[in-house]
Amino acid sequence: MDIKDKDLLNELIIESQEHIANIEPDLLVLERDKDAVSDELINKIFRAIHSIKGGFGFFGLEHIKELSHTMENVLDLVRNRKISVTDSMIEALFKGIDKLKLLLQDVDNSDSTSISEECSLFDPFLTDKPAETKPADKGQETAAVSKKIVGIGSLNQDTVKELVKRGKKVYRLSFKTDSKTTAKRVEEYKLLGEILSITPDPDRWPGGKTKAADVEIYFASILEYELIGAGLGLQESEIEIVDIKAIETSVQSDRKKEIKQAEAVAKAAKSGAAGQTGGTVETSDTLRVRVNLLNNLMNLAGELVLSRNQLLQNVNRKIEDAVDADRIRAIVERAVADAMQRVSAASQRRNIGSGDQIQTLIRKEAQAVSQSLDAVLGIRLGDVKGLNVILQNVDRVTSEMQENIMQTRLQPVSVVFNKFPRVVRDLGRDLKKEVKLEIEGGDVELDKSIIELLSDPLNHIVRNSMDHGLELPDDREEMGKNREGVIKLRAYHESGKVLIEISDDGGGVDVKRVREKAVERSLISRDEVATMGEKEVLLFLFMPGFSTAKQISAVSGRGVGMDVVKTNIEKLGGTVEIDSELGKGTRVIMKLPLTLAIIPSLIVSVAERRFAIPQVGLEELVRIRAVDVASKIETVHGSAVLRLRGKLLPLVRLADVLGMDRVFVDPDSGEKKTDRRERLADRRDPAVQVSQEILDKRKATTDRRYHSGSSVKVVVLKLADNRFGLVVDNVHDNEEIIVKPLSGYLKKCQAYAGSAIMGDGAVAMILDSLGLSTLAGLRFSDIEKESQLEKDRHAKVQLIEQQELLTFRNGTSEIFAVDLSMVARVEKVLVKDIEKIGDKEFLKYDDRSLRLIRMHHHLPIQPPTEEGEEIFVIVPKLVKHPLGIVATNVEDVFHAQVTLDKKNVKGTGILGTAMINKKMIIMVDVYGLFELAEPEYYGVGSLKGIEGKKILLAEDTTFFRTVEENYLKSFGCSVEIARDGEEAWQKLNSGELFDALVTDIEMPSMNGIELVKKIRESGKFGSLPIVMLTALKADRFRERGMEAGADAYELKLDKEQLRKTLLKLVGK
Amino acid sequence: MAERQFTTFKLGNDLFGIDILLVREINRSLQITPVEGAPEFVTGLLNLRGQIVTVIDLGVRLGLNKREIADTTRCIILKTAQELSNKGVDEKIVKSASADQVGFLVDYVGDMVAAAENEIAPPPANLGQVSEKFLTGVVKLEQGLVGLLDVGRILQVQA
Repeated sequence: MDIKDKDLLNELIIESQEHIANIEPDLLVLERDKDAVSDELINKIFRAIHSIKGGFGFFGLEHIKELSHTMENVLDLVRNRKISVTDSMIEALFKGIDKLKLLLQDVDNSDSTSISEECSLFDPFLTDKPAETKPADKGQETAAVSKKIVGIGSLNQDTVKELVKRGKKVYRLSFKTDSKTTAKRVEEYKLLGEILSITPDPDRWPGGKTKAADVEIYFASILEYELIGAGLGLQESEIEIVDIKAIETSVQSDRKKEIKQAEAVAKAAKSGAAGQTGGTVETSDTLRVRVNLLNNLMNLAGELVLSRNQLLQNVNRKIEDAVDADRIRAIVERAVADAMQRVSAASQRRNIGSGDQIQTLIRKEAQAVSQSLDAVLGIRLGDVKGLNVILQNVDRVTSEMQENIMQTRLQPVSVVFNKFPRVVRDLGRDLKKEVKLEIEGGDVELDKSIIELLSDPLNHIVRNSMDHGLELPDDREEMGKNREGVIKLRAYHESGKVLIEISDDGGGVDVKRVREKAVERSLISRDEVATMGEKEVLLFLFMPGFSTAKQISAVSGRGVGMDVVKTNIEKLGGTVEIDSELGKGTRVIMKLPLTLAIIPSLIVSVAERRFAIPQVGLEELVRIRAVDVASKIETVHGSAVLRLRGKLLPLVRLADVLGMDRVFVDPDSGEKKTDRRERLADRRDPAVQVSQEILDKRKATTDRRYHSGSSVKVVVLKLADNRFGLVVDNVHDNEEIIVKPLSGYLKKCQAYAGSAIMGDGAVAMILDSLGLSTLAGLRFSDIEKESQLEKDRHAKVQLIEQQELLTFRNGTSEIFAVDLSMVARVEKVLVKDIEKIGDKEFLKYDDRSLRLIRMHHHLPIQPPTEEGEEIFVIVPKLVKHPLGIVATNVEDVFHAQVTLDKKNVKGTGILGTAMINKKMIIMVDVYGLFELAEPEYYGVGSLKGIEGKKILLAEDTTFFRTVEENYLKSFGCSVEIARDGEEAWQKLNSGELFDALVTDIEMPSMNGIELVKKIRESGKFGSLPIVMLTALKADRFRERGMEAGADAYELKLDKEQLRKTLLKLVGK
Repeated sequence: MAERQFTTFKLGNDLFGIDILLVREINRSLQITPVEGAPEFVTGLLNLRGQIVTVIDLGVRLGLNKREIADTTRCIILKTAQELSNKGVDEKIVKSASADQVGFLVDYVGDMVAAAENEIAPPPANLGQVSEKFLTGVVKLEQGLVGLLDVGRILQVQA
């Protein structure tokens, strides 16, 4: 076979495999609808099989051809309504398909693989038809030879079968001759084979021995049809092949057609309709590309990304150099200009002329300096400025290209999913279970390499569900379930990952049994297992050899399986978890990355070594300031935990997990030192006694650096439902890295998911959060329990509405807070970037000028005693004319229930004080502050229209009540307060008249919606204007509120909007 | 008589050689990223024009001391089994190569040495401190014995 043919054959194999993949689901449909077979369906299956037969017949691969031919014959009979579809026929077709699959995997040896078993499965459907003996002459143009085929006549069927099995062909020879010649011929024939029967018997020749008679001899020989004539000295017309199998009569013409089609199939090398359309070329917008080529492209794209990153870094460095160079030039030029001025002034004073000469001299010197500067610095900003635009282009194009190439490798999950109807069907039969398979999201796309590796794990899980999960139909019925069990395969996207869910409605996993098994197998002690949560216990199922099945079956139960699932999925960078409810069913969820090749990652460093953390597992970054380390990091069961927003987060020091020496830079000497702290909560370096004097000095002069030097940086990683904090020295940029798999020598290192080349060419290890947590021996259940206890403790408090507060300082010990819902953003700015116009300060912000206000200019608070080079600007939202509030430090964001005390602080701009975590916090009234700072915008003058109105305010939370009351009063309204809906209802019914009701939604005893409903339903208060307020932007209540009969629905704290709404509703 | 060629190098004062067919290049840029938790003989990872090479401290692997990086320290980058088989190199050589990109860290790289099969003597029980199991033979040179290393054996590590 020449190479061209080989290519054609390979094409044909791929195509045939596709055909077979398509036939399977069709057969399943055929099985379901066997009583009402659609012509279209049967034709489709027929055509697919027909194309396979034609194609391989062309290549002379007889077994594939023959098997498909037999299948085709059966299908043809079905198509022509000669026979109807039966279960055994479907079974036979499935078996045939399976065999074809097998043969296609190794076509070279296909002809030495027996197909007789499969072929004979079809016998019952073909019995009454004329038969054909298998013409197993490879490589010859068998089809061109015309053969006559007959049935077995009077021969014993078993004898013929036996002969055929031994590789012999049975022929019927017929000629007209006398007895003597016949006897002579028979003797000759015996040399070539075996005479099965002779009629007439030579001994009882009809009409005398010399008389010619019609002789019929059945003869078995290993000789092929083409040779037998010559061997026996007979004409073609005198020889017929005997076959027990039937075959349609028009073999000959059909054959010729097939060959033509096979040629067309092979040459056109296209899929689907080829067998049917014969040679017409269809235009197609898809193209088959070798995976190899795509992989190469992918690698090249990877390299390109790498080069781009290097280019970007280099150019940026150059630009920085240029900026530096330009600055130096400017300084030199200014110095020269200064010098010249001084020279001329001095020369005038001393009256030695204009000093022209000296000036010329200086100018000359300056020029020389400038020239040598050029030589040294070598670069001007102008030279590299244009590069930026080009770079951005390169950057963009590279990213897009990479993305596109990546997409070429994406395949729909249905490629794997579609295997399962067959698996479920077959298993259902074996296990005598009735199962319905539901598939959802088959069009979700994943990288080809992931798809390929997904098949095994899915298979394991589905088999498990079928075998252990789903109950027998009778048992199900007894339990009140549908006889038919349901297995669901579902794929969908969630937060940048693809989730694949396999669920069943079977018996579920008995967690108690898992616990027992785990103890039994001494994986864990009884005490320990008792403390573990259900989810954690279920993880035991992923341990090698762990099975709760009482019996081992052929399908599953040996305990291999789930651990394979886990390893495979983790290899893909994914995670698996099990969710199960006893009696209700089991759900396995696999989370997979879209692609394996390029992943955006955060670069962190420890001891000056860089590591990459894939963004997918990253939740947030937390920086704990040195002063807070002791209070925020605690120890639970001997391990460090961080209290983060009321939850406990286990901490792991990267350096410790990896077994590195921790290094820090001593802030006094600048030396690198090994960090000897045992616990994170311990202060740094207790061995070295730092004198109070040095400490004080350090605080005063290098306060910020000191803080940043010893603050703890935590990267919060998530692992399925668990999270943990990784403590690193520094957090750098995000980079898109190309994952390079680890060599065999490093496979055992759990801490890494791979390696990557950084923009500067250095190699960095990619961290694996799962591996790190394992290495660190994290036990999430302990932490979880602690968290739960905490939660219970705080449960009461949390029922009450909380505020999220942003706390900050203004260069004094006073702590201020604003409600976070009022903050648009917080900017860190350099003091030197602040522009001054008159006595007002401005900051360029979003292309606009933002006026900055210093709180101590307007409020009765202490002026700042210290201020660094940087300040923070808090930019509020919900205001018509934003002003930036200056803070020297931003402290924290936290949830708290605030009880305002208005006694301590009086005056506009401050709502009151509150004690939070034993500290006094001053709550800033943003509107009040702005009124003071810019009365022209916020002054009372602009608030005309609703003064004197009587408003009923229903609000349970003290903080909001105070704020809202303030707002309303500042509008000039009089306010009556109700602490909940019930109280508001009573006040309304007390006979007092109100102009409007402003009400909260979430309130005890009667909530806002109930209140509004009651008001409207009673009809007593006419069209009393009602404004509903909510702290949440979520709109789920809006509809209900409006439905209940509210007139407006506004955000709490949005003073301006509240005024406008009230003006519209009750304005004069 | 077939002649084989060897790249020679030094570990401490001992001279060794590996079949030149296995060598892709000799690298002097030694920006090696250490890998915590790796086996002791793995010095770290090296970026070779976008490909990651696992650098093996040949000394440690052979049971000698750890390499100190010096001016003469080199990394001998080996060809992968795939590369060799693509080039149709002798099956025996292909078998001794690694599937991964691997480099040997050595103290000094010497000349190329050619030796006919009959010039290669069977290995002594020990060459310096290197056990016989890592050697396939020795070649006598003016400057001393060159231990020919069994690269396949060296790269074969129970994972």
